[in-house]
Amino acid sequence: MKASDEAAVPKSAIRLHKELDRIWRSGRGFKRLSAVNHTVIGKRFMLTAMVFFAIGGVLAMTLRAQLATSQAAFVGPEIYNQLFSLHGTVMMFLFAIPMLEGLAIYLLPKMLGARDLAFPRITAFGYWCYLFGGTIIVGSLFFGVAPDSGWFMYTPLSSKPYTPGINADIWLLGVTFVEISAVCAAVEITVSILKFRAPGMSLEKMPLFAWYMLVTALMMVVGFPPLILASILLELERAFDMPFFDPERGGDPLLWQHLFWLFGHPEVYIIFLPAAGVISTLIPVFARRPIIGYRAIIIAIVALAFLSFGLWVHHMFTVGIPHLALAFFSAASAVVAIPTAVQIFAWLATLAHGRPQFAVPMLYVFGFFVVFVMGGLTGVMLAMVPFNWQAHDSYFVVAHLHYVLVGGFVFPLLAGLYYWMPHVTGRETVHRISVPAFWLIFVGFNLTFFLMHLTGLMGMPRRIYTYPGAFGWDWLNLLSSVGGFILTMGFALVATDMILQFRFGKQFRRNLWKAGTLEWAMPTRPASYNFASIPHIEARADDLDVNVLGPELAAGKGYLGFTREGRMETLAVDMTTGRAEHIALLPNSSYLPLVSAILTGCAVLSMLFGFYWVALFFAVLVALGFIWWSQATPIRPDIGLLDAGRGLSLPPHTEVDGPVSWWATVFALVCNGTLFSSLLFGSIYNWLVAPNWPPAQIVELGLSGYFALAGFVLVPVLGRLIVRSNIAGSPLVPLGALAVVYCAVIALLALAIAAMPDPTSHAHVSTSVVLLGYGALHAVIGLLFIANAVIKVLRGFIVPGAQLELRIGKLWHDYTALTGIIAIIAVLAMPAMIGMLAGVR
Amino acid sequence: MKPASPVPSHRMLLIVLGFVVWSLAFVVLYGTNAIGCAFGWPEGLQRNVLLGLFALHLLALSALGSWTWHRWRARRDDSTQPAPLLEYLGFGLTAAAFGATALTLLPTVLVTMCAP
Repeated sequence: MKASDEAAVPKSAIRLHKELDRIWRSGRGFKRLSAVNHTVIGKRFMLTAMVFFAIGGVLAMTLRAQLATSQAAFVGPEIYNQLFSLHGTVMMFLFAIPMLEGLAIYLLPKMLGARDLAFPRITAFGYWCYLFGGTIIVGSLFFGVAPDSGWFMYTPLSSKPYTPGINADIWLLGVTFVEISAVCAAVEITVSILKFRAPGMSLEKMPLFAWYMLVTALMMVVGFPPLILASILLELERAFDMPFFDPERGGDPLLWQHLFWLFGHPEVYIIFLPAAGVISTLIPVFARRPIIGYRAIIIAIVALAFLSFGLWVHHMFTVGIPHLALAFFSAASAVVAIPTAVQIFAWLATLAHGRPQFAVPMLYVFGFFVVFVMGGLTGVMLAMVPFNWQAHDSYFVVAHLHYVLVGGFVFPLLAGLYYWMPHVTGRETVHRISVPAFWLIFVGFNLTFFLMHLTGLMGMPRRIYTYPGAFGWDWLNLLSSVGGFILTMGFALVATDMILQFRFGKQFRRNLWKAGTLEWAMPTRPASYNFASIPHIEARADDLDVNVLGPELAAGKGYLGFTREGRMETLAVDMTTGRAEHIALLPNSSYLPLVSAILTGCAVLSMLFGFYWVALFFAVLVALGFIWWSQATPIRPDIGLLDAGRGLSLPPHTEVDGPVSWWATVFALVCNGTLFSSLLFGSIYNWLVAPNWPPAQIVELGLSGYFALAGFVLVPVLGRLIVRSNIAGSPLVPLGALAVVYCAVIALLALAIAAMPDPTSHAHVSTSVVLLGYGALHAVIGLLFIANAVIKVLRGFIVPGAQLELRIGKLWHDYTALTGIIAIIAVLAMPAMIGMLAGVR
Repeated sequence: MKPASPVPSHRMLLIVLGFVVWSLAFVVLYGTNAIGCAFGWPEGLQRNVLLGLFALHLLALSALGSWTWHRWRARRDDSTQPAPLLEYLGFGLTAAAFGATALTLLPTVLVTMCAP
C-alpha cells in the first residue's frame, strides 16, 4: 500500500476541539432532522421511549381505575381490550426495547473509546422507523382501532373472522416496522462492540456492560426473526386468505404461539440482560472495588442467553403438549435460575467486600434486588407444570411478570438514569426529590403487584374488564389500584427531578461518581466527537484512572488526535486482541435516513389500508434509496496507509479484509437465516401436528422448479468469479451473467408458483408459495446488489485493491443460493412427507 | 501486509460451542419426541431412541469438555501468548452446557412419552 498522509500537525486542545466539533456536530434548526450522531440519536431513543412509557402508564392507570371496584362501568369491554393490548404492546415494544437500544447507542462508543457507532445513518434510520411505527400503533387508539387481541395477538382471536377490522393489522405491521429498527440496532451494536474499541482493549479488558450488550444484541439477532416471520404469515393470512394458522385448512393456531414465544421468552432476557449490565457497572463504582467474578459473570450471561431460548413452551403448558416435552421445558425453566443466581451472588459478594456508598442510584439497586428476586422465585414456581396449570392465565401471572420486568428492567434503568443523567446534562441530581420518588415507586409497586399474587391465587383471571362483587376480590383490587396511583406519583416525581436537574442541578466537569469506565474520561456534557483523541487501554476498562486519562485525551495525546480533510474518523481493532487494525471513515449528517424511513412508513400505511400496489411502489423507492445511500458516500479507492497517531499507520476500512460492513452483513444474514429456519419449522410443524392433513391437492414442482434449482447452484460460482475477475481486470461480465441467472431464477419461480393449486386452499400450498417466494425475493435483492456494484465499478470506486462491495455481494449471493436450494428441496420433498402421513392420520 | 492476529476471530466460537451442542440436543430430543408421538411409535422404542440420543450428546459434550480443558491448560502456561480468556470461557461454558443438558433432558429417563 502506498502511504498517503497529509495528516497531523499537533494542535492546541481548544483548536482541536473546535475543528473536531465542526466536523462531528449535528446541525441546528431544521438540520436536526439530518442528525446521525450516536449521542443525539441515543438521547432521542431514550426520550421517545420515556414518552411511550408515560403513555403506557396512562393506559395502566385507566385499567386500574376500571378494576378498582367490582361491576365498574368506567370503560366497556371493547375499549378495555384495546387498553390492555396497547399497554403490553407499548411497554414491551415501544418502551423496553428502544430504551435499552437508546442506552446502548448513547453509551457504548463512549465506554469503548470510539467516536461513534459503526453505521451512524442506520442508527438514524432505526430511530425514525421506531418513531413512525410507534406513532402508528399508539395513534390507532384515537381512532378506536387499536389492537385488541392482547400484546401476544393469539390466533384465532386475531385472525380475520374474529378481528375483521384493521386492529390486528395495525399491530402486525406497526410492530414489524418497529422490529426493523430493533434488528438494525442489534446488528450495529454487535459489530460496534466487536470492532470499534480503543486499541489495547482486548476481550478480557472489555467492561462488563459491553459483554452484556454484546450477548443481548446477538440474542436480538436470532430472537426477533421468529416474530417477524409470524407477523408476516398472519398478515398474509388476513390480507390474502393464505392459511397458516387456520385449522380448517391445514394450519394450526398453536404455530403462532410457538413462533411468538420463540421470540417472547428470550425477549424477557433481552430486556433483563442490559439492565443487569447496568447493575454490574454501578455496583463496583459504589462498592469502591472491582467486581467479583468477572469471568463467572460472562459464563453466566452466555449460558442465560442460550437457556432462554429453551423455555418458550412454559407459556404454553396448558395447550396439550406431550408430557415429556413439558418436562424438558419445565426443567429448562428451573435451570435458568442458576446463571441468574451466579450474577446475583457476584453482585452481593462485591458489595460485601467493598465499602458501599448509598447514593440515589444504589437505592434503585436495592429495589432491584428485592423485587427481581421475588419475581425470580415466582418464576421457578410457574416453571413447575402442576402449579402452572393452576395459576395459568390468572392474576398470579400478571404479578409475576411485573415483578420480573419492573424489577429486572425498570429499577435498574432508574438506577442507570440517576447514574448517567449527570453525564447527559453535565449537572448533578437534586437529591431532595430523588429519595421520596424512590420510596413512592418502591411502596407503590409492591402494593400494586404483590396483592395481585393473592387475587390470582383466589382465582381472578387475566384480561377481564370487570368482575362480580361476590368473590372477595374487591378490597385487593382497590388496594392494587391505590398502589398503582402511588407508583405513578413516584414516576411523576422522577420526571420532575430530571427536569429540575436540567434547570437547577449543580454543574460539574468530569467523573462525578469517581468511576473507572471511559465514558467518564470526557468532559460533561459530552462533545459531539466523544474523545479528542482515542486512548490506548492497558488495564481492564472498568478500572481505569479516568481522571488522569481524560485530560491527556483532551490534549490530543492519544490516537487520531487531529483532523484530516474534514473526515469523520475512528479506529477499528482486531476483535479478540484489540490490536489497532484500520481507520473507519464514517458518513456525516444526511436526510437520507429520514427520507427512507418516511418511504418505509408509506409502504406500511399502504399495506394497512390494502393498497398493495402502492405499497410495492414505495418498497421499490426504499430499495432504490438504499442504493443511493451507498452511492452518496463514495470513498476514494486508493487512499493507502494513513497516520493514526502515536507512530501508527493504518489503512482505511475500504482496503482491509474484515471491515464492519462485511461483519454486519454476516450478522444480518444470521438474522435472516433464523427467519428462514423458522419458516421451515412452521412448514414441518403444520405437516406434523396441524389437523386436516393430508391436503386434497399436492404441490408437484414441474421442470421450472428443477431449472430454478440449477440456477441457484450457478449463483455462488458466479459470485466467486466476480471477485476473481475484479482482481484480474473488470468484473462487469460475470456481474452481467449473474444478473441474467437471477432474472431466469425469478421467472422460473414465478412460473412454478403460478402452476400451483389455489394458495388459499390449504397450508401446504400457501407454505410452498412462501418458500419459493422467499427464494425469488432474495434473487431480486441480489439484482440490487449487482446494480450497486456495476454503478460503483463504472464510477471507479471498485478497483482490485478495494472491492468491499463485491465481497459483501458474494456473501449475499452465497446465502441466496443456499436458502433457495433448501426452499426448493423442501417443496420437492413435501409430497413424499405427505405420503408418510397417509398411513397414520 | 499486517501480521495475523495471535488470537484469530474464529476462536470466539469456543464461547458458543458447548451450548450449541445443548441446543442441538434440546431440539433433536424435542423433535424426535414430537415425531414419535405423531407417528405412534411404541413407548419403549421411543424411550430407547431418545436415551441413545441423550447419551450421544452427553458424550459429545464430554469430548468437547476434555478438548477445551487441554486447550486452556496449554494456553494458560504459555506466557508468550495473550491471556487465554476464550479458552477459559470455552471450557467453563462447555462444562455448564454439560450440566444443562444433563438436567434439562433428564426427564427422558422417567417421564411418560406422549400423554398430553
